[in-house]
Amino acid sequence: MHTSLETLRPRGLERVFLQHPLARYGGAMLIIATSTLLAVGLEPVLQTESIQLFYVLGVLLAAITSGFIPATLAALLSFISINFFFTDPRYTLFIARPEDIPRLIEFVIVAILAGALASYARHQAGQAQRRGAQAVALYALSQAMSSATNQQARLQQFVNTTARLLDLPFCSVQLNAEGQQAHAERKPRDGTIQRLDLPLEYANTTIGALTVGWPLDRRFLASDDLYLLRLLAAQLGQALENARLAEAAAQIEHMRESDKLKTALLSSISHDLRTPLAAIKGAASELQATDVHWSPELQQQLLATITDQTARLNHLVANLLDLSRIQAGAVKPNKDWYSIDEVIYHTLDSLAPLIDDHTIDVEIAPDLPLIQLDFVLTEQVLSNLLINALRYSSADQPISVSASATPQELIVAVRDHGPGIAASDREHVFEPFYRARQSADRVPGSGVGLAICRGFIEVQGGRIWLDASYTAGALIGFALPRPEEQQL
Amino acid sequence: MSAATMIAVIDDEYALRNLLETSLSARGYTVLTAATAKLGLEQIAARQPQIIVLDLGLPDQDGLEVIRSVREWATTPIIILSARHEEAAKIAALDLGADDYLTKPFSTDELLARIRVAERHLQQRPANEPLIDVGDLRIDLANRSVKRGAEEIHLTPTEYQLLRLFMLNRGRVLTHATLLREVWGPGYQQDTQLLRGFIAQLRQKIEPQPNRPRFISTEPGIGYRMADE
Repeated sequence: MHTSLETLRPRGLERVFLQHPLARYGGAMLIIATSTLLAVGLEPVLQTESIQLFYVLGVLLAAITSGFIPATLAALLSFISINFFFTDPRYTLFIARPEDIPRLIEFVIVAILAGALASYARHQAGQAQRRGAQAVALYALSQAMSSATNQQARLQQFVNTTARLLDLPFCSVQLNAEGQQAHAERKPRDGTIQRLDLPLEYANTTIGALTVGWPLDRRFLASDDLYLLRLLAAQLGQALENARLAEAAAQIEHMRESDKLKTALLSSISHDLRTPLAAIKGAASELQATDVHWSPELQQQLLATITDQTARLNHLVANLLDLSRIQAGAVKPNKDWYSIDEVIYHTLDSLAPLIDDHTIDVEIAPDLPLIQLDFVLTEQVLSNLLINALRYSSADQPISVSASATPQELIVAVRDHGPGIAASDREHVFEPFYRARQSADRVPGSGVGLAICRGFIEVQGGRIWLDASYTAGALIGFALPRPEEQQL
Repeated sequence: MSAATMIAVIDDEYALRNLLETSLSARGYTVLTAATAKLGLEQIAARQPQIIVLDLGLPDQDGLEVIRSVREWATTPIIILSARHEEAAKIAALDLGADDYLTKPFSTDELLARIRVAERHLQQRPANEPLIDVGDLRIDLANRSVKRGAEEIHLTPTEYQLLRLFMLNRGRVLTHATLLREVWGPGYQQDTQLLRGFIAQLRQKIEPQPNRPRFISTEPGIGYRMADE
């Protein structure tokens, strides 16, 4: 949208409405001179009353084009012309017949009244036109600013739009609070340019300053443009205030969300934290007991309980820490070149105790390229996906992990033959602390695993999804971008 | 061993310090403990332990500063303890001269294995040992030859240099930067893609199952480690 205010002004009216004082008074005189010439030429065929109507017409024309005072001047000139050219004795300003005197006075009154009415109409039309132009300008500004997503962009849109609308050689704005500023410049124009400083206010408080270059030879009424400039500045003040309020509202919303999250966290994990702690405490106090003699096998069993439950607790705490790191934006991927099978086998090896008698098939496409990834984060994603698959599968339900590549991405998928994920849960499974309803009571878990997966994949520029077209169980895939030089 | 190996444990957590003191004393080591970097450095200077176990997160001073101070005057092996996701700190510590690391929580077995590796590196002099065995893999430094079982393995000169470095440091973590600097020279320290390629080739030649390596294992985000036995 590259309109300026000049193009918003209707061209026809612009030409009819004379602006410059010289043009306005000169025009009025020219109109009366033309009326006189026509009247003199047409006198043989006209009656005296028609000649006076000629002049009234001229005065009306002068009123419309040039306003009230030039019209009054035109009326007086008409009076002199009629007196001089058409009233006996001719070519003098002397009036011989007494009955001509009221006729001429009547004429002057009619001409001035008509001129007054016509110039009022002219003024009204001009006013309406200016208001229209101002409305269009304000609309253009609000459009431009609403496309901005941050304060700096908003300020930049303001100075660009204002400079364009008012055709200013430069326009800049500076805010007091954060010291932000924006500046716009247009091709320099001829003529004198004055620097104009306006305060930027909202609710009687000065929030900044607006500085513009003001050309002194404006075609349109300078006071109108100045008024428009003030309107635009007021709108900027309002827009900045609105943005501030919206930001505050968003912050409150964020706090409310995180509060909700904390409540969910507490209810979800208190159970998961307590269960292993209870088992560890129980086993340890049994081992300390002096009233029972534990056989070496039973001792080993109690110790195994402690070790297993410690691992479970460690996994849970690690997940919670990861989630808080993701939410705080503190995860910085440490990417390096790896082959994906290295990640897959490393993960399987570290999960060996959990895999136990489950079957995990590995299908890795031949000749996969090296890829840049964060080994630790990616291993954890894969580990969480496999732990989920193991949790929801019995030993006779095989699990598979596969890796393949497209020209743009490297894709890893984990499939199981468990109960799958209900359609109503699909869009929520990657949200923190969300647990599929059907399984929440049967299978232990805190509902953070997939949220962490998503966080760790997205921070590496990848994507993760649940494949709804796979119906034999659950299929979760993730893709990591291949470097551009590999994308042919 | 003439006298018991002395190990300094510097950790601000009382429970962990106490546990390590108990487990290590029970296995015949002499243990010094300190809760702060300052006390730890005083103990190290006064009693000169053979091995240092150092927590990176100390209250009074960064663990990295402790490594720097010790390395000013001693080559004592340092095993660092740190949390998950602190790869950058681990690499910084290893580059400053720490010998190995353990991620918390760890089992006593893992710590003892690291300590054994450190002890062996204290005793051995590479020149006295032309033959090094790890499992059925044998490198002959005198004849520049490598065998797995009875089978001769043919390596390119770069692969050989890489394997030699691993065998001399078996059981010990080697960072990407260390491997690149030692094998390719100082200009290559960032070129991990090059390193990946050679590790993959070497594994193809020496590992029975190259994608489930038994000799050269990956230390995610840090580097590689040659198996100890």
